[in-house]
Amino acid sequence: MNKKYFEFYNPVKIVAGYKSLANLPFELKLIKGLNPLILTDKGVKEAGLLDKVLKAFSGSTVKPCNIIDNIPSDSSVKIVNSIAKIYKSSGCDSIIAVGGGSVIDTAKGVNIVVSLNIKNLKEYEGAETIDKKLNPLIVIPTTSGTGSEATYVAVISDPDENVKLAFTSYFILPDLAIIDPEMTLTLPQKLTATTSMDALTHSIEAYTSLQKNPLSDSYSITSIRLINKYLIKTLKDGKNLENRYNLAIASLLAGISFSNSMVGIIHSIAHALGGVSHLPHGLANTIILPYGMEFNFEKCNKLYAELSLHFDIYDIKKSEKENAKELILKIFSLQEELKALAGIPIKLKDAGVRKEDFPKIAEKAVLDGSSIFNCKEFTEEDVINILQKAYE
Amino acid sequence: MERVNYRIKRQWLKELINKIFFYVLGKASEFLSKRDEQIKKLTKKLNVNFVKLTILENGPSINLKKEGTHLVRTNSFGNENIEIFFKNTDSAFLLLTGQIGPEQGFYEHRIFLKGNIANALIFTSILKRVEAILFPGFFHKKLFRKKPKLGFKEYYLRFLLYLFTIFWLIKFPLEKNQ
Repeated sequence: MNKKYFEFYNPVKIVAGYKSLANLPFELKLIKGLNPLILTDKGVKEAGLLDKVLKAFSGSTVKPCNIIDNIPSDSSVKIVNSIAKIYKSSGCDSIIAVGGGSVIDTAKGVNIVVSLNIKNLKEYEGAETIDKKLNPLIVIPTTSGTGSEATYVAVISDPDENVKLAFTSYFILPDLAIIDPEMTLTLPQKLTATTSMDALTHSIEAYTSLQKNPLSDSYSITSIRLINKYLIKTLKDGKNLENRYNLAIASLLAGISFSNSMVGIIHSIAHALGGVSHLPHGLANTIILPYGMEFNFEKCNKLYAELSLHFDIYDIKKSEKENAKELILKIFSLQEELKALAGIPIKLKDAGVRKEDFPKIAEKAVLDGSSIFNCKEFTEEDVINILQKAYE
Repeated sequence: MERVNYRIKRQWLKELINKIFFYVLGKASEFLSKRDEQIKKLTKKLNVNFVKLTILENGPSINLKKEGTHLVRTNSFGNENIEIFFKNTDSAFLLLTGQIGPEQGFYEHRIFLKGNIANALIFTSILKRVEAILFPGFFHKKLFRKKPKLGFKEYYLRFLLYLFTIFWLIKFPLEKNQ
């Protein structure tokens, strides 16, 4: 008898496509967000994307109560707490996050503090600590990778204790995600490459995770097909709206998928590389992906063979294992292509990771929340072996 | 419209079995944390003072307190804690009777956590070690992603644990607050 069991949850309303940003005030009214606080970062502002968001309010009775445009790339609990004070003093009733992972996670953190009326975000660290609906949160991604617009996790650093705090709760999920391809048109090549590889890692790990389920699989597969078709095209022609739209949708699908099936060893190592060596998350995933797949080969080769079909490399004459190997080789060659097109490092040494930090990275990786969902159990020694292979 | 009278059947037997296994699991965790080096190391790493396991709704619970390198059962529960909930009687029954492992319980959402995730992972490793010694080898393939390697010391601990379990089970009806 089949004793399998799964849960799947995604209540985020998706508004996607050409000029979808123009719907922002209308959607805000529907969710009673009449005085939203806009959070964004310098890069987004300088690229003119904040102006595009503000333009959407033209002629509307809905107006932002305040704008914070300098969220750093590694946001902290202190920043979240101080923004929460501004939210309250400005009389805001909702939040709009315009940016990548850090801005979105900061917005999720601020929403926890203001909705639960607490002073310090740290009070609600961990899993399932939130027990009520939060204020309206709208997310407008400007990268195509994190999938944060559809996930119930926020990771925010605590510099005082040099740790990254994870907040997980279904209540953290945004109410609305606006996927407007125009918002990713100015994303530089390097970031396009690494954030898309982040999305690809989400999909591959979600498809092979222990928590995988038929619904998350379907999201992963579509996401993989889109990334396979549009990543290189986008790097060659980043101004093409169709390319950008498809990558943004791929990222969203990957986010929905891994939010419901979780990720594995590649993310465990990438989180640790971020914490110890401050390696950007997308880049860490880009480097570790094929080595993590090699480690999981013994347990996951059947699933890798299935995925090879969606990378259009499946060969009916070959065995499952051979097709799975071809997939890993395909990821290695994709790395080389990204290096040539976008100039990203594909070895840890070139990315500035120090060998002497490996034990620390390994220690953190085995205690990462994703580790429990990997198809194959791993130890600190296994992580060090992977890091050594990815080093030079 | 007439009011429909209905009666919800209690799962008495499963509830009783859960209660007994929960009691044994708590006792075994306490017993092994004083004797097994791996559990001692893991307990030392735990960065919380209390761990609570509860079966919802209104089921039994175990409170474990960290004391240095070992765990003791207690009736108190303070700050600096993690709480692990079994969502229902059936989920608890599957886990406590060795039909699924603690990791499977997590990834299938049959149990959920309140609190720091890294500490929950350390406690899951403790629970896995307790189950590796508590359950005979033929359960291990179902319970763990990687079959644990057990040596003479672990088999000796299992022998002791079984002896004590007989004693605990005799004492069980007399224990309060179970």
